[in-house]
Amino acid sequence: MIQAAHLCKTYVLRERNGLFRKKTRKEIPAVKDISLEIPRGSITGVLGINGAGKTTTIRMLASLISPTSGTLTMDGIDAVKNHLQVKKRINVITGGERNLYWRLTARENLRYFGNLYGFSGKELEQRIDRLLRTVGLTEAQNIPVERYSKGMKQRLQIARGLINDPEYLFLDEPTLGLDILIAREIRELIRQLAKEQNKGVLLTTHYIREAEELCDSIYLLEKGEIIAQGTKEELAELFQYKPRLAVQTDLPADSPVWEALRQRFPDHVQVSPDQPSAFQVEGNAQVWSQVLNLLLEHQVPVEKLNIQEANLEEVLTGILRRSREGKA
Amino acid sequence: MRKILLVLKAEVVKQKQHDYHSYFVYFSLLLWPILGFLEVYFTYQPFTFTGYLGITDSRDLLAFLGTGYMAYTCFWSMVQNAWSMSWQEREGGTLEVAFLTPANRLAMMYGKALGALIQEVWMFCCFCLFVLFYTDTLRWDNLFLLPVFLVLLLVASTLWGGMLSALCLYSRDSSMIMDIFETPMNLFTGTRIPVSCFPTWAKLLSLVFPLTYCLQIIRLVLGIAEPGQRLLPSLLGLLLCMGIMVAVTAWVTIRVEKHNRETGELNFY
Amino acid sequence: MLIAWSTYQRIRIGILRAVPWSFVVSRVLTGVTQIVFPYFIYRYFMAGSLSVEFAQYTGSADYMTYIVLGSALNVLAVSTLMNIGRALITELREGTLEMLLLAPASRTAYFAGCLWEQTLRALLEFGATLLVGALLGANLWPIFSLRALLAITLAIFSFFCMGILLSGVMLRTRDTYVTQNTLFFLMNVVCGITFPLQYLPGWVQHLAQLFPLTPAVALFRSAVIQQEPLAGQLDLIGQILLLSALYLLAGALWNKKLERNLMESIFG
Repeated sequence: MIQAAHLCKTYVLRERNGLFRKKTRKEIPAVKDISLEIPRGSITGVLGINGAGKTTTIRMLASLISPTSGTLTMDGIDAVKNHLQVKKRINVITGGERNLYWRLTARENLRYFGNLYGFSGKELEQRIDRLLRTVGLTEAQNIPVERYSKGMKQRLQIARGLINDPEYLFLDEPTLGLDILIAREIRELIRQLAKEQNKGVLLTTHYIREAEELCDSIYLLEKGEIIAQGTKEELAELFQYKPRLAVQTDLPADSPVWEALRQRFPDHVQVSPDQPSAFQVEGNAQVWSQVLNLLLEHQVPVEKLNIQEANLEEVLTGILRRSREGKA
Repeated sequence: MRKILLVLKAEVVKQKQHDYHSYFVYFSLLLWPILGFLEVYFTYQPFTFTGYLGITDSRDLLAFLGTGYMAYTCFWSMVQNAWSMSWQEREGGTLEVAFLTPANRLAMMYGKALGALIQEVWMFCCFCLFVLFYTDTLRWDNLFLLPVFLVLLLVASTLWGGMLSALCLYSRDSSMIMDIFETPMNLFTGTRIPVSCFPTWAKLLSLVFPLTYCLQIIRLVLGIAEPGQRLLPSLLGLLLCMGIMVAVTAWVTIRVEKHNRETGELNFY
Repeated sequence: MLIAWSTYQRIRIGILRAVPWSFVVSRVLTGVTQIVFPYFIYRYFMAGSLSVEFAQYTGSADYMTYIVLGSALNVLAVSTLMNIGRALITELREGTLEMLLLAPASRTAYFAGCLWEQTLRALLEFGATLLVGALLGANLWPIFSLRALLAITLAIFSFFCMGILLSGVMLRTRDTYVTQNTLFFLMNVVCGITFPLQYLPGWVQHLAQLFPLTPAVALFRSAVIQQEPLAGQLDLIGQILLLSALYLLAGALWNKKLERNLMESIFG
């Protein structure tokens, strides 16, 4: 198990204003007092919007950067002091297309990184074969990476992250910018790694759905601090988000239908301020069908219907608001 | 030890695969050095040879410049490679991934240097060897010297390149080292002009560069030298330089990793 | 005029912000290197033992003055060629070329703007090189004469014309580094910068006549060293003007053709 206790990371920025003036020192706290656990065989999620400190957290846990204060241990070993020793047993996979040699083929990339971990010969080649099969790149293994699609590069990244058969795996937004099908494949792979191969997986994401689908426990990160944590069931409670139905009509602003809607569903209907002929309905499916029936009665044609998922920012604002109200 | 050799090998192989497609190399490390070589050769033409260092005619001059340019190009390619690789690897994010592994850092640095050397310099070295054969500096009877000075050159420039690679880890903009090293290294190490004719201040400056000793040894071995010049001081100088370079490389890599772990600067995005 | 001025302003601002002095420093360094080497050879290695031919070929010129004038004019050539040559491809790389092609601005005015902007900087580099040369013992006072100034102006103009063709080549090959350095290394060898042309094989001497730098440097030296009036060098002036016209014409035609292709590839 990887255990982090009270980890803080403060970056120091030295800016020189003008050639001869003294540098000004600016401290930027990126992560404040984070404690978390990554057990083997399960997926731990870190959820947060861009700039919440996810990447700094993951880089710190993966001992790429050292914490300003706090302790980090891996199965009892001090991971800050013995970072080289720890590095044998972990790996990091980031979303995007970087971190690979584009002019090298998939196999050449994997061989190089495998060598850096001290693997060679038949053992390494067999492992590469296996990994290429796992990520579905066997056919494309001898093509330079620069000719790969985004999804292929991401899959190669995953193979690269598994080259040392790590016990703990850190995934930084692994499905960022991928299309739905590939993202689903990758999620399935991540699940297998944790459940079938007993790896400890830490996953950062800003997709609530992804975190819910995959993670056994979730930490919610906002401005470098953990503002909520728990199993996904516990958090679903806390998130309290309900999907909304967005309805687009051609109702004029002075139509009597608006009044009828407001009277019958005072708590559920919200008119968009910037689009007078559109509105949103909160509540469950029953409420939605009642609203639609009312429109039908008044013979109002519906132009567009859309179910809106909660977005992370809204959920976070909700939690922050509630915690503030609770304190007050 | 096996792991260290493995890392060394991995870097050399990677460099080869990485550079293979680049026609740029043929220009920057073959055509341009040849043109530069010719420029210097013709710059000497307005002078009558004084017989200094045993250089009495154009043929002697060619031998002198051939050795100088060969060694210089090895060392210079290290500067160029350290700079461009550090930039590319930083931008591509591969530098950080390499530092994510437990691989021996020194072996990584030397592997990069050795890879570049083997991959890039051989073409121009062939040109220089041709010049040396043409001028009878290398003959059948002293051909056994060839492997000796090739190995010397290989080891010295790899250690030099490893040090530069380590230094390039420090800063995001290392184009400065290109400017710092190009001219002074060319001028003061005896690539084009023998160090022994320099005024004292320039002689002192030349002692800073490992290339100086390397060249002195190579020329001495090939018989392009002042009568009475001895091998031992240059050899000691080179050994000292190599020791310092290894120490600096080791120290800098440790420092840089520590620094980067504090600031996260290996990362480029 | 407005286009020229706004081009000037834009490049100036871009340069001051983006690549502050690295190009300038490296070009001055190149120029200084080109002086310091011959200086070391002349002063320390060969101890001033110049051959008879050198005096013959150069009209008994002072060695250092000869070298410094050559290198300084070379710096001016490199600087102008680089700035003009890279202008369009830089726009392409920054994604502003489309805007430029769409705008009804005249290309000549655009390049004139580039020229104007870069000449100040190029002259700075030229001056820095000359200053170092003067410190190393070159006799440069005759530079402050009308004929020398005219020779410099003529030189800049011819480099500018060649630069326009170069900009087309760079835009076509999508490459700056290899093209420019190959050209500059070649010019260093064949144009008679650090040694008289006559030492080169005959065919190379003929090849050298294709570069405006060759007659320009000869004219500049005759104006400063021999202090000959320009009227006595009409053949050199003629050659410079002829080369300028040819490069300008070739560059304009090629750029026009490229522009059509580019428009098609951008909007097609």
